[in-house]
Formats: sequence, C-alpha cells, structure tokens
Amino acid sequence: MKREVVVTGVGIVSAAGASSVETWNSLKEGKSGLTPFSLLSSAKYAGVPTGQISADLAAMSGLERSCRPDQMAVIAARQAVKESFPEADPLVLEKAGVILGACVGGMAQSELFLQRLLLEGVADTDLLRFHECASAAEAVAENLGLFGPCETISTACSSGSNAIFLAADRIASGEIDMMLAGGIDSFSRLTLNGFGSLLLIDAEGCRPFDEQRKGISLGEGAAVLVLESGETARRRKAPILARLSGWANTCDAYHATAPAPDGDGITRAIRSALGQSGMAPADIDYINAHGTATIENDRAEASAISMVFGGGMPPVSSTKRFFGHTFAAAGAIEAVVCVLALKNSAIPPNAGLNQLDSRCPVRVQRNFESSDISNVMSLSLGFGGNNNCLILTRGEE
Amino acid sequence: MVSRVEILNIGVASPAGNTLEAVLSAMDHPPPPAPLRFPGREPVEAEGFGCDLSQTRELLDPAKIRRWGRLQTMSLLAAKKAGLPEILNGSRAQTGVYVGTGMGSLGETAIFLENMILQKENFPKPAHFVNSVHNAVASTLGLEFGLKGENITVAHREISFDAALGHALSALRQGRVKYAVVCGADEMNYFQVLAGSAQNLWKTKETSFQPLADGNSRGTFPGEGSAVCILTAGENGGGESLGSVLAVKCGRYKRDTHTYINLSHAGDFLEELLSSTGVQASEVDLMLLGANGDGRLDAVYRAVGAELERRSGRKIPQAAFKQLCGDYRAASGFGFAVAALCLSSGRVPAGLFGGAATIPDGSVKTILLYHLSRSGVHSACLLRSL
Repeated sequence: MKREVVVTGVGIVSAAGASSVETWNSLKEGKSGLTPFSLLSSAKYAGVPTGQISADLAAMSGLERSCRPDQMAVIAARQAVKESFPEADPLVLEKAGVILGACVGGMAQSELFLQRLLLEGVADTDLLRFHECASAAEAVAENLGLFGPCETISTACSSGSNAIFLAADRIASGEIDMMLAGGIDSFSRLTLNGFGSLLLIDAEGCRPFDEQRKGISLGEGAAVLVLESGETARRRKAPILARLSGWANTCDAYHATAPAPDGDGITRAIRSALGQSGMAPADIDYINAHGTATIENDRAEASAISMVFGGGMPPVSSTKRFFGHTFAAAGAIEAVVCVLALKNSAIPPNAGLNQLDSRCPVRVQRNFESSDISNVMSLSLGFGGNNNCLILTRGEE
Repeated sequence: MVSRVEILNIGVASPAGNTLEAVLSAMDHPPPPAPLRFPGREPVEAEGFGCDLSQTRELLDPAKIRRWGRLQTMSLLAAKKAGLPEILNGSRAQTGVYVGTGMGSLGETAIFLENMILQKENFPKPAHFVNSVHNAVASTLGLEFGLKGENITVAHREISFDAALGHALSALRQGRVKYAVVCGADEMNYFQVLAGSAQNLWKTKETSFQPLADGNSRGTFPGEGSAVCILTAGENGGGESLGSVLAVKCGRYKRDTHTYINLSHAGDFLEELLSSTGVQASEVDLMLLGANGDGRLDAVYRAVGAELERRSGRKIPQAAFKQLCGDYRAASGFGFAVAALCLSSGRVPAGLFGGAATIPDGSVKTILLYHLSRSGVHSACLLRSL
C-alpha cells in the first residue's frame, strides 16, 4: 500500500522573484524576468535575453565563499523549511533527506580553472571546489542538518522533476517520512555556447508555442519542495499546500537531443502518472508544459497532450518566459508554480505568445485567470528523450 | 515482504579486463598501475588504471563510436558484455536504465570547453556539448537498445552507483519496470589527472598498491571503468543468476574530530540496512570496502568495519577492490561486480586482501559493500548468494 505524499513547504529563487510571493506576483502581473545577459564574460552572448537573478545571493544565503548554485539551493531550501515548520524541529529534520536535480554545478568556476590552465599555465585547483554538481545538495543538507539520503539527479532539463519523483517514491514506499526535493542550476559558458552551437537560443526571448518562435532563453534558479507523508504532516500539523498524486518517468529512446516527434514517450509518461493517481484525463484542470519554445519540443509536447486529452483538453501554459529555461531547476520551479496555482486558485499565463503555431494543437492559456482548479499536471523533458510527468492536487489550507 | 532482486548478468569495461573471467583472474593477481598516456597530450607524471577499449569495434558500430564520448563507449561495451539486449527477452519497453556517474562525461566537456576558450567562443562543436551531459550514458543505453522505461542518472560522488541501484530496486519491487540496467561509470581525463597532480591526490613511486594495508602511504591511483548489471525481480529471474541484491542504503554521516566519521552513527546506519532485510550483522561473511590506498581514508574504512565487527560479536574479514581498477567516483559499480563474482564463483581471491588473508572457498554467502566520500555521504549495499 503506497503512502500519501504531500507538499508542506516551497521555496524558490529565480529571475521572476526571490520568494514564492514575489514569483506569484510576477506571474499575476505578466512580468517576465528576462533581462540582457551580463553575468559572465561572453563575446557572443552578452545582451541576449536571459533569466539571470539580480538579487545578492551571497548576502541572502550567508555563504559568501560558495558558488551561485549552492547559494540558490540553500536560499530556496530555507524558505521551504520555514513554510513547512512554523516552529523549528531539528529532530524531524535530522532524519530527512534531500534530492536535488543539477546539471552543471559550479561549472562557471571550472571554466575559469581551465582558462587559466590553458592560457596562463596556472593550475588554480581551488576553482574546482564546486565542480561536482553534488555540491548543492550537500550544502543544503549541511545547512539544515539533514542526515537522510543526500543525492543529486542529473537528467538534463528534467532533473528537478525527476528529483521530486524519486523523493516521492521513497516516501510513498515507506522508506522515509520527509525529503526536500527540487532543482538548481546557474549560468555557465558551457551551456550558453552549447545551446548556441545547437542554434537553439532565441535572440528575442523565448516564445513558447508561438508560430515565430526560434528557441529558448537561458535562465538560472532554484526551487525546493518539502515532501512528506500525509500522516506525519498531519500529525505535526504542518500546512498541506498540495498533494503529489502521480509521477512517472519514461525514455523516448529516439534521439540524443530531439524528442520523438509523435510525443510517444511524453504520452506514456502522462498516462502512467494518470494511472498511478487513479485519475482520468478529464480530472486535470491545468497543464504546466515544459514549453521550451524550440520548434521540436513544443510540437512533440503538444502532440502528446493532444493525444491524451483530445477535445477535453484543459488550459495549457508554459511559464518559461518568466524564468528562462533553468535546466535542472526548471521542473522544480514549475512544480512550485503548480503548487502556487492550486493555492491561489488561478492559472498562470503563457507569456510571449502572439500567434499560436498551427502544428501545436493545445489550448494555450494566454492570460492570468482565476479558476477553481483541483488537479494540475507539470511536464518536464530533457536531452536523451527523458520525460517526466507530475500530478499535484489541491491541499488542505 | 521485500521481494528478492536477482543479478542476471554483469558486463564490465575495466582496467582489469573487459570480461568477468579476466576480472576474476586479476582478483588473484592484481595488475600494477601503469604510466598514463593521453593521445595528443604532453606526457603526465602519473600512473593509474585505464581501460583498453581496442576491442570495442568488434562489438559496436564504428560509425557510432566516432560520435560517442569515451564514457559512452565504455558503457556500451560493458552493456554488450552484460548481454544486452538479448537478455531482456523482448521486454525492452519495460526496462529501466539507472546510471551512477560522479563526474559524467569529463572528456567531452573538456573538449568543448578547451575549444571554446582557445577559439574565443567561435566554431563550437555541438556533438561534444550533447555528449557532455551527465545523462549521456543513460540516454545512449536507452537509444541503442530501445529501452523505454525509466531513465535515471545519479551524479553524487562515491555513492552515485549505489544511489542509482537504490532507485532501480524500488522500481523493480513496485513493478514499474521488469528489468533494470544499472551502470556505474566514470572516465579518466587528462585535465583531471593534471588537477589531481597539482592537488597531490596521486601516489608516486609506490612499489605496490594495496588498499587497507597498514602504513602511512598518502594518495591513490586514478582509475576509470564502467560496470553494467542487469537486474530483475525474483519472480522473473528463473534461478540462474550471479546472486541477489537484498538492500542498498545511502545517507550522510556525522563527523567526529578524532575518528573522522562518528562510528556510532555509521554503525547504526549499517545495522539499519541489515535489519531492513532481516539479516544479522553476525551473518555478514565479508565487508568489501571502497578503500583507495590513502592511509588516512583507509583507516576510516577499517574503523567502520571494526564497529560492525564489534556489534556482530564475530570477526568480519575486510577486503578492498580498487587495486584492480584505480580510484574513481563510480568505482562502487565495479566493486558490486567483484562482490557478485565472489558470490557466484564461491571464491574470495587472496588478491582482494593483498595476499594477507583468505576465506575458504564456498564459505561466503553474504557480502556487505561500503563506500564513503570525504564530502560527508556514505552508502552500503548487501548482496547474498542464491
């Protein structure tokens, strides 16, 4: 018998805000977080619209000598724990674990190491302290005193949602009562030049599902959710913001980067998550799409949504233009958006859309709209045809 | 009741050889480390354990090998050696892939970055970027063998493989997948070896390499490799397997100023793993440890082993395996293969003890693997013969 998994706290820091309140206000006001890129020295990508965080992360986190991903992770995790624990309970936290999704870790520093080695012949190995993407999860565990499982999932852009799925699985199976789960990523010249080399960056900013879209906008951020068994959450009278009703992961086994055009893998993930939750497609009131704004992603995703939901399709929006594509953090950020949508009874808009691509058969939500939603779905896709589907249900506040 | 998970087969690409027979033979007489050479690079002043991949063209499509990075090639070779895809009996859609890699595709990342830096962001090579993602191995295994189930990659230092294994066990026990392909892989790279030399991580001028041996030796030898194991829930196993996986556990350890790791906390961690399976500490016949030859780290491993021994009330032999493969993040995957070989062959070769101790053939039924990272995480895995 599987145990109920609930969300009792969320934390988020991104270009759209440094808290869940700021984030929700940005979504409500339709205020995109994209600004001209200036964070790293780059001859080719300076000024390109990106979701870079302007807040002073070192000051906010108190981790002056750390790297941006670790700082963001700790900030988001502290927010989530603060919401979940009106009164601190170190004994509960000690038994909890943390799983974060991360793609590049402190790669920005590793790039400086290599640059100095290649151009100056200096091996400044101190720059490699944060090279491994495991660093952020350990910073969170250390900071909050967690001694349960401490892991990092790296499945490209679906990492954050897969971290949530795997944490939920551990709780549902009875292995553990509480996990912090989420995702984290910051900028590096590797990702800027990498996506640039694939001709996937839109110089005008991303426009998910739009006919004229030309690709993604890069971003950075972190989001962390406190997941725990419904039983323990109720016992300690924690706020139940949402219930995690379904989760699934599948692989396209189709191409190294492109999704299967018919959306087969995504369709299987959606159906599997629905099956697990015991819901029918008609029970879903809103879908937060991965919606990166690449030609291939949006068409494949729309095809899958259309295949499962057909004429009874709920409103769909991609919120990428608010945050940029934050890689490993994306799925976690969007899971937090879904929790906030349930909590505030409203559907966030698909910013950046002018004319819907006729080959994207989805019912796009253009404007922020109040709506009595009960069940929402979040989709996340990654390189290698990695598909994740999460279903969240209204909480008990 | 927790269902048994069987190890149907294992394939390796390893410095000790690319077949289980070669690894078994090396367990009797571990090969010494060799000078490291990286094609197209200046010689480095370091020795280590590298894989010989010259055989790959016999098993894998040369056109594809040219497009893959070293980590992908090693893992595809190991997967073929493990019997993919035939061993899955046509159940590819119900097969999940779970990869543990601490550092991911270092070589591909380095090539992309080096080009980016030297060419001032001009002429980037997208193939290297695509291969640089940590889940390149998992997605390539999925793509090449048509495996459409779950596809998960854990990138968490020395516990990467064990954490991936844990997710595979959960998926198998809950019936989300019928078969699990679990892989532990990391590659050695020129820049990594250079950086390690600058940090004094590597041994120099050692006459032998025997982790757990007493002494004040510092550092280790770098290594690489990929181990791929095929698992299934007991009811699908058919009884012909290398052994069974009873449980795996990952967590953070508490530190201690004197013993480095809080031994009481570590002992509780191991006992929790054992009790989850109903196995007593006194039933553990062998501890196979991730000791890497660095005297300070090995002492921590020995102390954790002694703590379990104290609780069990009986002597538990301690053995090591990194003398066969060198030290790399996901080496616990190779350790898993070594343990399975001991169980299936009924032998624990003297080479795992540095020739200092032996266990009578046929007497080892239960093996506990234990790994820790200096960063504060540790993991343990319990295997048993069928």
